[in-house]
Amino acid sequence: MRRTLLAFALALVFSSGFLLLVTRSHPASLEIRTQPWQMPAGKLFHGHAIGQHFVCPTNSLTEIQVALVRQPGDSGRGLRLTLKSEGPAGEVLRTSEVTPAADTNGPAFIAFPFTEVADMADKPLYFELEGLQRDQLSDWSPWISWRGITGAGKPWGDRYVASETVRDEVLAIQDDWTGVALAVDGLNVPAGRCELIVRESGQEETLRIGTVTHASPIAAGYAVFTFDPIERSRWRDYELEFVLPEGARVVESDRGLSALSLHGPAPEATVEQGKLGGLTRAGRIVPHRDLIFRTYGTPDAELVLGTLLERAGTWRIALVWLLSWIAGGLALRSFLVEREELPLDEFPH
Amino acid sequence: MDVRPQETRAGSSRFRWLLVATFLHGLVYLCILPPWMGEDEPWHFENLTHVSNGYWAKSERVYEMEDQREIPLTQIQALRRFEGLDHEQANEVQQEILGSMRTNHFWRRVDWAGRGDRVRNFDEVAWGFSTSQQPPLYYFVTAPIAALTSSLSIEARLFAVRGLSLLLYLATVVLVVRIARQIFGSDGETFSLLAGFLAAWFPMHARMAAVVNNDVLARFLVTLVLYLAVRVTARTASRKHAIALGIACLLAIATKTTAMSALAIAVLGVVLAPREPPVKSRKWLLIPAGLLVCVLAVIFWQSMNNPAVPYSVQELAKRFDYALSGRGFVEVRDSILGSFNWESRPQPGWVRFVFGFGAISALVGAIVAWKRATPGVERRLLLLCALTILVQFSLILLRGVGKGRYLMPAIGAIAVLVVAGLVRVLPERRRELAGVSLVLLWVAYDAMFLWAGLVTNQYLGWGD
Repeated sequence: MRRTLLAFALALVFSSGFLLLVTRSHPASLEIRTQPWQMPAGKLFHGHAIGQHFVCPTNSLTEIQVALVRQPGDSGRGLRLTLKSEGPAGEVLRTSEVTPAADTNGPAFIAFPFTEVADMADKPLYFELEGLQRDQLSDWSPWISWRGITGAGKPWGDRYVASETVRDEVLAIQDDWTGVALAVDGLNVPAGRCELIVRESGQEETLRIGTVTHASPIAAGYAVFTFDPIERSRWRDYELEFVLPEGARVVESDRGLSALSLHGPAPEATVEQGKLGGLTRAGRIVPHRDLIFRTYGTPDAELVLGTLLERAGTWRIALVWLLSWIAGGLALRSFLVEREELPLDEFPH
Repeated sequence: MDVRPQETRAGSSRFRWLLVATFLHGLVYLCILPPWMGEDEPWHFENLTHVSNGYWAKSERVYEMEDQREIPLTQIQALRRFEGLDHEQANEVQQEILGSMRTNHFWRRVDWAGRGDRVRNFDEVAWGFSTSQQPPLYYFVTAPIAALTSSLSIEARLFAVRGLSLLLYLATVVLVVRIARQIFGSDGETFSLLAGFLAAWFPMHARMAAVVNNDVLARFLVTLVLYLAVRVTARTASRKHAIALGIACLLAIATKTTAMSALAIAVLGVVLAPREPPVKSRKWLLIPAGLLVCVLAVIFWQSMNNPAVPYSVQELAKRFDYALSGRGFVEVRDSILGSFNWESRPQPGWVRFVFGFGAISALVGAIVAWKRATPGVERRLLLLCALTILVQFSLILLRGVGKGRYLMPAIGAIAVLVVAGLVRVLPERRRELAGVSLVLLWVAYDAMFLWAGLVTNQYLGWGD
């Protein structure tokens, strides 16, 4: 009997202990979860901060983590995140300056902690990221996430090729083709003609002209050329002609031009998605995409438990806890129980 | 009068309680795993829904490039698979499943699936993936459940089909105990129960009690084949067992390509049986017979365009490269220990380390146990278990896709060798302590997997 009690007591400790640990966990309050990370936005230029609108999901906000990678270069390592209310022109609420360790090059989430901002639940907020050194380029590049579907593409290559006109061919594998992300370096959008001409394979006629919808320079990052969606693009061949300003270089590998086809979302879903207001470059909103980031508030066990019960259902969590306790107890009892404690009917009469 | 030894009678009671515990344990995962969070579930459910709607014969229709512009690839594959199915019906089934995936937050849970839930077909969830080329048995077995519950909501139908997985999980654990009993003998009941427990409480195995996937049937059938093969080797098999072994092999081949190991296990079971003149003289016949079944199985799978069958020498060479590169090993290791939300969130590194240490210890212990075993049946049975794992692992590597669940058909062999290598190999006075410690660690790990892993990732780690 004693060992049976011990078995169930141990099982109770395990199932309740780990359930308690779940409530003590500290999940992100808002998080862009996407795999793999595919599109670095390019190095951070002074005066061209990359920012993100979002609505704070919880009262407390104490930290923002941004997915970053350090591109080759010798610029300063320091980064500054500025948290503002509303948007780029809003009041500065907090700033956080971070210099990642010398051996941290990413891709990784870099944390920007700050003193708590309270009473923020459901309030529109905005943060922007730039290099600490105001007079130079930062080698850090934030990752961006496309809200729609990523189609066919070739990964980031191993060489830069200087050219003002680049051609490629694409077989679209999904419908609603609406853009191409091209890996570039030294692209200064306002410096000259910068567009993508899309033609159906073998046709002279221009089908779409894609443009980069911001004026910030791009170094070692993706330039996203977007155009009006081609609704029925699936399994059709297209010819691409990129016309780039002088000085721009594209990234290539043996497999060809490093570019990704982007599909959807529907045109009406351009700016807001849930609690996300969209990405900005130099204060201007860039549709269809967000920075890859996550936010944290003060640990709050009650909030975590509330979220768990709301999403899973109280009855489900209670039932699973009970079942796991009984199952664990019975299993342990099978191995802890002593011969003399077995029920009488188990012995020969 | 019951003449069973006391240990066996006491053991049978413990066995019954262990089965009750196993059933409840499977029920835990059945209750907690959200809809569509079993790997490949939407595709398998799509297939079995078509079968439950009366489409089962293979279609001979040929599709051209032009058709692919009009119809999503996954739907074309369904049309090519099921005679009589039309595009509208194929689309309707996908839309119903996609609707349920949206309601159940699939895109917030699965990190690689993209961020928009406004997808219009399965191609937009995972391009180029389909289960329409899978062997048919699992769908014929599950279709009646879907047909009987057709008036219920899609989530209820999914739950009902998952119920079969729970029963197959329970049946697999029963078989594991029976396999162990053949190996450890009547005085080793605790070891047998321990093997069953380890199989039952291995979290990714228990999680298969809650997943609609042909892997669950493949695992059960291969475990059944191993049990029958063990009886053949132990010379406790009757003619009925031999016939059952043949049938189970054919059913396994009709379930999944990764269950092809069944054939090798059956042959090994016969080959490893101690020599006796009448059997010895016919053993050589097994080689051509096995090869013939292999060829027929490959032709059968090829006729269904199953991607497991390499379509060129280059493809085969690529798979050998994959097998030798170690990537397959790493992928199997990570996914068998538990990678949450459709394998998008792996376990922390220390779990891999601890299990790696445990696996190496078990391997070394099993070799010692094999050397210490008296030459004869026990040694042969341990060898059969080791070869079963080797065959299953080789199949995975040659398949070119390292999924931990493809190793589950060898769960019985793994559990037996772990018990032999970590507990039974020890001096008698230390066995109890080792066994109880293993059980405690296993229960604790499962609780951690359940709450800190599965529940946390499924219900708290939602993407925005």
